[in-house]
Amino acid sequence: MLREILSEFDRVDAPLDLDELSDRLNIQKSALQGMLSTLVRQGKLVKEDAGGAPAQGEVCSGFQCMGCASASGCPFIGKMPSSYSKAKTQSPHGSRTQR
Amino acid sequence: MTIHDNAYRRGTFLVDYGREIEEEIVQLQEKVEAYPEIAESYNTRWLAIKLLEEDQAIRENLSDLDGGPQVVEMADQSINHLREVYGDDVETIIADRRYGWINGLVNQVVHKSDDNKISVTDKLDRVLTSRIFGIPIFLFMMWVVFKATTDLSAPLLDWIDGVITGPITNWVTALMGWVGLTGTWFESLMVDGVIAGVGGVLVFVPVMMFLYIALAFLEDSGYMARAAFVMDRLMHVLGLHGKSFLPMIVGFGCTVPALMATRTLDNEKDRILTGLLVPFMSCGARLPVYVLLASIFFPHNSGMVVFWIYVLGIVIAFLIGLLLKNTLFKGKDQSPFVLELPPYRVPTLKGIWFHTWERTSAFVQKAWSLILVTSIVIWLLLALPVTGGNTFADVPVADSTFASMSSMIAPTFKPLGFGEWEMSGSLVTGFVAKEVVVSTMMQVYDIEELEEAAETTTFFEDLGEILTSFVGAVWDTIRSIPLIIGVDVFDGEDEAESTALMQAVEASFNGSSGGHGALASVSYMAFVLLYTPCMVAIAAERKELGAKWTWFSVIGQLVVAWVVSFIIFQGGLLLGIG
Repeated sequence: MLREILSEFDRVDAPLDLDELSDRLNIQKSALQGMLSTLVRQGKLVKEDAGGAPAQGEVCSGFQCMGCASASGCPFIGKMPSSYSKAKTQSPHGSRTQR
Repeated sequence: MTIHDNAYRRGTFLVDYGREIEEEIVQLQEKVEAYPEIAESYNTRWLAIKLLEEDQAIRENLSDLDGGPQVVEMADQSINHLREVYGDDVETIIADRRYGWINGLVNQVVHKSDDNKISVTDKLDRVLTSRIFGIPIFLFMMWVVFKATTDLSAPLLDWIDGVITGPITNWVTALMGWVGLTGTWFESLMVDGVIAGVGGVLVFVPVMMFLYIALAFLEDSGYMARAAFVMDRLMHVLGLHGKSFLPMIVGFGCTVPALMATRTLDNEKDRILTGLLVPFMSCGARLPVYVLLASIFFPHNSGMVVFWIYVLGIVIAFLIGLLLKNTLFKGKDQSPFVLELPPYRVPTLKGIWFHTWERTSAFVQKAWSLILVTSIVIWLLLALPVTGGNTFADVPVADSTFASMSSMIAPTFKPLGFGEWEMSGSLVTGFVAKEVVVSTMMQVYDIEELEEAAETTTFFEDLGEILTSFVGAVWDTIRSIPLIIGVDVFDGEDEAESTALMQAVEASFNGSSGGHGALASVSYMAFVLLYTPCMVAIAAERKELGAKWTWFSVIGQLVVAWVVSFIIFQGGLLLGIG
């Protein structure tokens, strides 16, 4: 299953959403999310949350956005979707600790 | 008989990891059972699997137990053997088999009825993210946003403008009189500098509020994520990295965090290319300029004009992206990706208000900090005479230092239809922030001469007028809702009079363009859209892209802005438009 997902990443020629990937591989969406999480944990995929609001100082690099009102983070960062892409380098070992 | 066979015989559910792995598991179990201290501490099959998965915590725990190193050594031999057999990590193979077993089980035991198979989110996504309808729907949504923003904000915009240019200005003037500062440079600073500059920007608070309400609605409903997905596909078709559009969507709010969002692109070339394109997306700070000019020259279609300016930004970003992708950034393979779209939700009033308040307060705070300082600097330059016969703070604006400096670059903009010093000066100060373009216009156009003599009113009469006009403005805002779908309930009523600034700007654009003011205003809006967003954005570019690309970006944006505005104005003249 996991190898099929990785192969699908190589096959697609345009961005997919999870529903499309779920249909293509005939895997339940909830199960697919778990599989993607496993691949992320293994370092084979990278998950990026583009919607995460960066801290104000981090964004504006000392300019503080010239009097921006938001102290906790940039208010202009919207709710963007998370994305998964193939990692360039893979981590050699997992690091799970459950017993 | 293996433990696995025994398990099946006993009816125990065990994942079958395949013959090769199961053989190694059994061998490891037998090895573990030779060391009682380990065998008593762990389930042997579970331990064998964990060792094959290279679980570091388990390996560390075993190192303290009798026989631990021997078991780990054997596990390493098994891992090497399996890696040779499968050509992949054993951990991945095990997880793969586990998920395969889960998926098979789920498919066997879970049966969804036809009604439940397709959720509401799925049904909506089939239309909203459709390859055919996705982009037209996105453009339609944008049009609705700008139509609603301009139509609904107009009554409140007029109200704030009336309050600032009327009672507030009168109160400050009266206060100056009470403290004996009438006619002094300080009164000029307060009225012509602070109130004109900052007030000129604060007038647009309703515009920003309605824009942010609309954007918050789209975000909280989950549509904005779909918009990014739909545009991702288009980006990909054009040969650009699909993920480029994520920062660009952020750029509709503010260019600075959008530049920051380019970090999601792991390839440096894609990151730099996207960073170069992001400033072409029209940030919220440019909206007051569009609204001002569109309401002067296109009073009945201002929403449509603003919409097309935003679309122009996207189109130019695509074209520049294509050009750069096939020249300086040639040869990068596309890396595929999968987006996890959030489910659709009904936006809550609290959520929408939270987003709107945060963004609007950021706009207001910017007016009271950056724009206040800039307004004072511009006032200073307007107060300093360059010719003899004038004194400080008592100089016609045309004879000021600001006018003199602006006049030097004004000819550059003559072919674009706006070669007057007032317009070019506003563009120069716009480097600080785009809201400053409007505040500079408020200061440089000699508005006082156009204003009618104000009636003398008391403080309480002013307060009463402010409150009653506010109620009227709110009522007109509610009545403006049908305008979004083209139903004009104001038909037959007197239209709101143009403000002094609007009249001055209209006369100036008509004068500088040989009577083609509307065309020149579109050219001006295009220039504001495409040239450098603000100095904070330049600082962010320098941080994200480096000095070389920042220079390339700033100069490139100026060149693109000039060329596009030239094409609009001269092309429009050739075609007889405007």
